[in-house]
Amino acid sequence: MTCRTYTKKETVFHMFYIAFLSICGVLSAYSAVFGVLHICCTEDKIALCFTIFFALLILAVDFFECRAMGAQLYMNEEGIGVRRFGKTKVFIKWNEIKEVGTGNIPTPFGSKERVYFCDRELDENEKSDLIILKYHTVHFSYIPKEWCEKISERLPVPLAKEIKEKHVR
Amino acid sequence: MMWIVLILALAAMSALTVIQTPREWLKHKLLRILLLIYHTVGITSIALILFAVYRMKDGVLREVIIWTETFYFTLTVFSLILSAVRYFGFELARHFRHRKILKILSSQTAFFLAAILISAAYMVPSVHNATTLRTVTYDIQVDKTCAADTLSVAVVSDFHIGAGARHSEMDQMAELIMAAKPDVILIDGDICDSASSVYDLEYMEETLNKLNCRYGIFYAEGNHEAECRFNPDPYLRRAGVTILKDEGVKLENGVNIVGRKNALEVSVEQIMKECGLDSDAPTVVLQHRTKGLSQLDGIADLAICGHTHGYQFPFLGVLMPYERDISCGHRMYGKTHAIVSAGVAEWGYRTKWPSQSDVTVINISFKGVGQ
Repeated sequence: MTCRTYTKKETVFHMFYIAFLSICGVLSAYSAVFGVLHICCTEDKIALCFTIFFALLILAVDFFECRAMGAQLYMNEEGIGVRRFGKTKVFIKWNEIKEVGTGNIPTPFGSKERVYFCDRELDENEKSDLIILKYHTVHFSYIPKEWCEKISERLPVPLAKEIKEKHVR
Repeated sequence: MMWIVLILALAAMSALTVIQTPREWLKHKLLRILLLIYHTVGITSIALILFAVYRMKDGVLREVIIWTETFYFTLTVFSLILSAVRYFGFELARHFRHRKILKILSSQTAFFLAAILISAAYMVPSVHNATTLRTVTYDIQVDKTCAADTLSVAVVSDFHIGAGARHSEMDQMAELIMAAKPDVILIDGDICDSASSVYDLEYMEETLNKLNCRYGIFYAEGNHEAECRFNPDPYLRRAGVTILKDEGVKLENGVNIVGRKNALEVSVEQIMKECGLDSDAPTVVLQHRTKGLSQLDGIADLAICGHTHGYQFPFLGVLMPYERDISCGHRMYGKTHAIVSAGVAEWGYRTKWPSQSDVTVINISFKGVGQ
């Protein structure tokens, strides 16, 4: 079972953003190639470095946007995880889960709250920065409504009421 | 029209900056107030340049408005670029789980400090380049005969007098031209724009009146003349400038000077034919925009352009294939030399880097002395 990580509204917004970045990236990459073939003076060389930097920056931001868009929440009989472009990136088995809680994760747009599934109980310091937990935690921005029942059935620990109220959409 | 594009671009940039700003940062009341003041002051300065500066004399108030707009533009653009760099760095640091870098990238103090420092570091050389003119000299060989074996041409363009060139820059320009002692002076368009006042045009007339050279001063229009609130032609005529709008003249030494209108609709061949110019004589084409230069091969020996301001902003190289054939310097199109002047001033904001404002001097050597 898979589910996209963005809401419909977010998906539309990010699709426009990705399209805008892709167009800008391709046009500036073409400018860089054109610039290489049309160097007349020192200023051309300096400007070319900025054009290449700009093109790479735009394409890199575009890539990360696409990567984020390509992420999917993933669940099966064995466990729960996150897939990116069809490949499972993080996964935790149901019987390994010892705690389900909420913590924070740094994003370019500020610190965001996440629901995590972890194979041990986390202390407050770890909860404030889920990024440091490399292999033992799966964190979601939300739990899909239609998954809630199945998750509750399979989890060895109860899903807190607070999480259900706040993070199930 | 160009101003509307600039305002839309700035609005889009401001919106993107806000989108990429972490929500927590915007929760600070002081920061919200500062951002509001910053954008209000910046947009007001743009509005004043659009609607009020053309009534003002060269003075402190006008300078404050123009420098405020310049600082607003620079800081906004660099903040946006820094936002993108921050986003990219953030994703990389998240991937490698580098907490220290994540902490720095999450800090709003670090972000705003970096934006101000980068803008300041950019503004130091770019304000110098914008306000200090230099002479750029090219020596070229033309494979045709002429009544004299050499011709020295001084090219100036893009005064944008008012919001661009102040009166002090016009004085610098006159000094550099007179020091070069050219045979002919060519003015390559964009002498004024929507922010130019009557006082500015009068000062331009005064400055051009001081210039003297053997064969005279010739002018071709640019794209901004259409926006001028006052017709610059009478001022130019009174200063003894010959206006060439899809017209050509033959100098005493036999060299053809062809001036094209900004639209570049009429071909050089047609202009020469209509003006009865000899196509075998050395021909200098004066056109504002750097477009269609490859079509001049075999027709003109030298094409002189302005418009680009060199690179007024380093990221303008992105525009290269879409807006211009060449941005600065000298390039050959077959047997035709094309030279682009970086201009006397700037448009939109008073900074220029990596290019520098200049007076371009072209020393043409001919194959031999003919009729």
